[in-house]
Amino acid sequence: MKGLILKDLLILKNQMRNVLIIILGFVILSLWMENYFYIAFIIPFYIVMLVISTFSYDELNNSNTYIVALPYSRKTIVKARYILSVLSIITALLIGLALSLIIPIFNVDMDFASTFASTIASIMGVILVLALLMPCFYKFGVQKGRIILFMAIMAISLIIGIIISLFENSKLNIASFFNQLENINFAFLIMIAIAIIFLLLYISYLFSCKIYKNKEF
Amino acid sequence: MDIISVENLTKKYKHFTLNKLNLKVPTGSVVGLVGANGAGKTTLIKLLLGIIKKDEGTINIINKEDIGIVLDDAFLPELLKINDINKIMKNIYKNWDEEVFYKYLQKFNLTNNVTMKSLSKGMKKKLEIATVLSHKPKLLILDEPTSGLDPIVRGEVLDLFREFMEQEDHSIFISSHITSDLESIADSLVLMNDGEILLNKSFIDITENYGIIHCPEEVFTKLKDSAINYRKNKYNYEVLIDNKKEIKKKYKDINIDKASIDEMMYLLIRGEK
Repeated sequence: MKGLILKDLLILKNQMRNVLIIILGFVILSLWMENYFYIAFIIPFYIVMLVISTFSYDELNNSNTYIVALPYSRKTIVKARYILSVLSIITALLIGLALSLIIPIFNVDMDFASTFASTIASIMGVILVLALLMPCFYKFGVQKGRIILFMAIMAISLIIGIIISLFENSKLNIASFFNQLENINFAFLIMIAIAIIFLLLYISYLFSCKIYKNKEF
Repeated sequence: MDIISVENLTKKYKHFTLNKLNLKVPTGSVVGLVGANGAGKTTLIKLLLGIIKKDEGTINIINKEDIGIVLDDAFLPELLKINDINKIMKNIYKNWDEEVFYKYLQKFNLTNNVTMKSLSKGMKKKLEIATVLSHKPKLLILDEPTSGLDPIVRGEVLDLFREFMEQEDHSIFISSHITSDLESIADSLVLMNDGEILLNKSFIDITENYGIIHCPEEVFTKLKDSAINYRKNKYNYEVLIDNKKEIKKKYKDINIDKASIDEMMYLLIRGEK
């Protein structure tokens, strides 16, 4: 499995120059806009999204066919990708942590807690996207997978919208529901949110394994 | 002992079926696979390697760790550099031999550590062949390994395959459109057409018994019963036979030419019965 993770890491390493240029661009943009939340948000996001690009390269060069012929079980191939994702999440987290420590030094208006919170929010969002995206990629390939995910997000938003409007029509007060939530320990809520998101990632892994098991190239 | 043994192998697609294929590759032999485009050669190879799943039948083959693969149009992503291949393969194959790999790269003039994207098709193929020979496989499964290579490199590559075969327990299953390559290294020939095996013979059998007779119509009428397939040309007939000795005995004045793979393929697939 190490060989497969290494393959993706080396691909990323070979385009490190481009990655650094883009990150530098984000930093400059952030300084120019005087918005430090932006950088704490976008860099972790970008790093995790790089993982997604490894899917495209495997597809672009027909490497999927070659990889399934290597002496690995299909489960191992999927597992390698998810481990890479978790590695990238940890990297993003560490970079976010570093930024949250550095940014307040240069800007007195910012504090560690709020900067780090935006990093965490970004990473959580990205994990959620990854968890949905990866099974889609395994099922439909990168191009179709993107479109299908987009449609799925539209559908989910629509359903949520409908549910909320139904609630509003039935004169239930959502605001009071959320107000009640605030009374519960905030840290506890965050822990639950994190647990749910990682559970989602695990479920996503199980789905991907199942899809990949019968995939033909 | 057979290193590959396939029984009643069936794979159904909408417009193509690989139908109840039976095939054996004896340990220590080189089996060449030929057939027109779309005959099912790549489908068969993909089934052997588990890239696609069979619908019916059995496949017995050695461990993937001991199989070296060169696929027609698939390798690691092109953004990787040549040295990266070494790093990755070291972690994939237990028997990976770094020294051997770099020795082959030297031989193929692949000494610059560039990305595969910048290599020509032939150079990339050479890199794949260097890779496949560097993890000490027992069986090579090669899908069009010499396509895109110039005649000189092709000769070198065939020599490497011969060198590989010097070990008694080594075997090769190779598909190619360049039939002269197969004539020079293969022990036996499998001819596929439309998802079926039309012919599966050793080259000794082919040279001893198969032949092609170019003859006028009056000779053809005499020969017609012993012909497998024939083709009517403008001025003569081309007749494929598999009982060379008998015909030689019977008609002393008939000239029997050697049957090349290309001619046999053409006559078996397109000829009349």
